[in-house]
Amino acid sequence: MAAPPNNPYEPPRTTDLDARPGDAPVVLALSDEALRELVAAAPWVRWLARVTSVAIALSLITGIADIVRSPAAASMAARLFMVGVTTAISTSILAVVRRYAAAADRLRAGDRGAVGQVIAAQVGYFKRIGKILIPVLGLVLIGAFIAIAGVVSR
Amino acid sequence: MSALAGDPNPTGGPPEPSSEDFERLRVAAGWARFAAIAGFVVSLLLALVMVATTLKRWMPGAQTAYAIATTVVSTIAVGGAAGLVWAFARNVSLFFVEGEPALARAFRRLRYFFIVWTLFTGYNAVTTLYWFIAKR
Repeated sequence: MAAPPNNPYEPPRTTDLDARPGDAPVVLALSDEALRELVAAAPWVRWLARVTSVAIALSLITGIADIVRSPAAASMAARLFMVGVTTAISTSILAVVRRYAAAADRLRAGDRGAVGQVIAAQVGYFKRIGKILIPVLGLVLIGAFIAIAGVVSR
Repeated sequence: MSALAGDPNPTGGPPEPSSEDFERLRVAAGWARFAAIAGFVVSLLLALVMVATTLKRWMPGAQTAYAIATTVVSTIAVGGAAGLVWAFARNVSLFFVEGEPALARAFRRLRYFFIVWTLFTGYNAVTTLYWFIAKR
């Protein structure tokens, strides 16, 4: 048991959540409720895959149509690059969402072994999102800096 | 457990993920936490960009209304989704300390996240199409 803090107003430390010697061991098992939540998410993940597919197709069509409509040579390469990058990013996320949806559907159909596949798909999904967010965050920071600098220097 | 349609375990008996699965869950929580923090930053920056661009070129009209509506919806959706992903990661971490019902809470937050993100993706697709048609 940790010693009580000297300061009664001190906020709880993150280490307060750590297991201590003598504590009862935590049983790591998937409860029925947790399983029901995974099953209940399956239709939404499937819908997310469908809607993302439609959004990618729309973005591609409207992007190319915009380029064809006003083919200014200076900005054409930049716009083509943007359409290509956003399509590549969205498609790579869609691939993981589809894998997640397939595993969740198997679980919903009664395949108990699919729990591991759903968890693996969760790792894949968040890992992919995280890796994509690193450069995106940099670009958003630069964009925000430019936008705010434009207002300040006005 | 009630016999629901699509009951994942109709034969009874608890499903038993392996220790590797639980280790993967820990990794998922780590990446989810990072994604949530990045999401909070993006939603904050979106709000700043909205204020900055609105101040810079305020022109009443459909285009300005569209730009503001899109940024407001994006800021709320990204911020809300980041909050749900953060709650997922936090509850997964709690599960390794105190067991259930933290994991059920984590998966519920994840389900809410998928609902929010599906609706937001749909909204984006509809506004993209609307604006493309309106520009013609």
